[in-house]
Amino acid sequence: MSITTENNEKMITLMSSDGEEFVVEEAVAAQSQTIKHLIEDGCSTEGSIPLPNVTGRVLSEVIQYCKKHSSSDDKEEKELEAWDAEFVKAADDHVALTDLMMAANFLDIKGLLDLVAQTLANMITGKSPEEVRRMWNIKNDFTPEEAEKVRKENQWAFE
Amino acid sequence: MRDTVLDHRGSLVPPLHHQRKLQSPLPAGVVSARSGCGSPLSWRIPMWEQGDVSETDSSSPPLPPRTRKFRPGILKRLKPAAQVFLVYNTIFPHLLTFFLFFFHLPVASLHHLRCQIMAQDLISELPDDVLLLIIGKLTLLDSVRASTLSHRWNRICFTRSDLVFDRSNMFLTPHSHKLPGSCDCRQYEGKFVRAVDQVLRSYQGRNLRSFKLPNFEGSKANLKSLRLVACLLGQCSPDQFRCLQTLTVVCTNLAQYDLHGMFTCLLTLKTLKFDRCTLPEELSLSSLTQLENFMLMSSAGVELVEISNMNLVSFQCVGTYCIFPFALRRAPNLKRLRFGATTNELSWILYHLPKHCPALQSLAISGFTKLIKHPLLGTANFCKVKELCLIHDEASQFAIVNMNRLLRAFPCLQELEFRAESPDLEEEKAGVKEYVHKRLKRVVMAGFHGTPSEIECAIYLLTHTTVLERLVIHHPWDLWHADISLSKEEREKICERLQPFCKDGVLTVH
Repeated sequence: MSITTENNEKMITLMSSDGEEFVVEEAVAAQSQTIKHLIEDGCSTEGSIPLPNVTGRVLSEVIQYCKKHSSSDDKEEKELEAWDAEFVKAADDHVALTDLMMAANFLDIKGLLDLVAQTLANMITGKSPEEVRRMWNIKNDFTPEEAEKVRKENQWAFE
Repeated sequence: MRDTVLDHRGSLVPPLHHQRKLQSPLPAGVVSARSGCGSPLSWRIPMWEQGDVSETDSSSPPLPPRTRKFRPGILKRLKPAAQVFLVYNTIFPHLLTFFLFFFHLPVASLHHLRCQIMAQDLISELPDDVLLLIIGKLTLLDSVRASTLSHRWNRICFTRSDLVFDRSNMFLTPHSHKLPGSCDCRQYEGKFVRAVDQVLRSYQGRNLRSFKLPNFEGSKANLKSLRLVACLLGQCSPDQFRCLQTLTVVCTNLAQYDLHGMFTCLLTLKTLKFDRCTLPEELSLSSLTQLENFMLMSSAGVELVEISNMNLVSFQCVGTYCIFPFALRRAPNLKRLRFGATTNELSWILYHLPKHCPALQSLAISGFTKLIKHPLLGTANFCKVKELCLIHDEASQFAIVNMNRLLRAFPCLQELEFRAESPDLEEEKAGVKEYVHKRLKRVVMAGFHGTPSEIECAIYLLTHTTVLERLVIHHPWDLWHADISLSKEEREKICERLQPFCKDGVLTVH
């Protein structure tokens, strides 16, 4: 349902997969291309917009990000960068980051997607495959022969 | 555990029977519930649905150090207990909270639950396009290292949409950033070439958006040989390929580019090859001042090639579409010329070619010409030509009269390759002047069937040369039919006829 506040700002309601409702300004929500298209298609006029792939916890973080990025102007770029850094730091491990990544992907928020992808990429940077496997519990599904072959094909990266 | 609700990220979701009571405004199928309803302490643990804790535990990958402390016993004990309390949970919503609170279970088990979730490979559960986003943020070095993680990572790492081969993307690790910037790059040179090779060999992507092979460390770029297959070319600047000596372009449409502009940037180019390319109608090579070798293989579109290169040594057009006029203005050093011709160019070949290319040593002409019959052949000055190859000359049957004209026109000839399809024609002996060739060493006759006129021609060659070392006779006249050969009887018959005229070891019949 749409409510109009004193500032003439249209508000919309988002509902997470676990039923939490969030009332946000349309400009904030429209940073998500997915929601923007839903609004354009008139989905927001009756009731709240259901987001079946995003839990309340993650959605609140996403909204936090969108709010910050819709209120800031270009001149505060440095401050925004620092805020972004703090923001991903708060999501302290890769589980939270993966959730955030999935939500950003589903909601199609490019800035957030880039931010989280960069954070996850930074976690791998400079680490050996063994370290990355241990960090993220990635199962090595190569047979010893295949592993040897792959290693040989990419020898230069390990010299 | 049926009552606990499905959500594998550990979010707190009330049991299903709670949900049914809710009048959700959502469409059916959307799992949803109001927050605050039900007990916040009922959650779902994916592994419990699959079976016993200990089972999954043994098959799961090694846990990170801080999860090693995990004792499945707690969860095991919790399991029946939770079952009981979840049933009562609907009646006494706070009983479970009460129980767990007093037995200090929440803290311990929540921690272990989290560890369990951490133990899952959530990253690899991301869809391909999302994982590709992360990989796209890595340097080439790190993404190649990541490609050895698992099959899936391997596949996705080598489909990234950009390949930028430069030092910062390939050799700098966080540690080497600390090194002084004046790192000697010569140590990377061999590794760089190997790395580019290996990456390109493994690369499987179909959406390559950006490919950069910049000057490796600016002025130290020593790229000498470049082969481009099916490429879109970008702009190139004069100092980009300062050392490039060999350029091969394969299966590329070059008609849309300003080749002249491109050539002016390739001042050091010595060898240029176009293989199965589409070329502009007019191709001028004059701006490639250092060009020594030019090769055009089965390339379409070109109607005129202009050659005015002081240093050009070899010019070869082979394969289909090799017949076109070319404007050969100045090529004083041209030694090797191979091209296709039609009857129209014959007088030019015989009259102007020796003048334009005084150094010519090797000549190969293919096409349906009547070169041998041409009246100018006798006057042509091919006095330096040592190798001659005539392919599919319409009138070039193996006949004494033809051989005689040819030998007289090329007095310095050392190697002759004569490929013809020769129907058995009535031999006209008129015009055969007595001539003995004193330099011819090797002769290949291809398209030989063993007819009387062919045998006579071969005998003529054997008897009218003084230093012949080798005469090779083939049945198929081109390489595409190399599997067809003369039968054993035919070979023996030819040998028997020719043997009396030649020394030992000269004759070879295939």
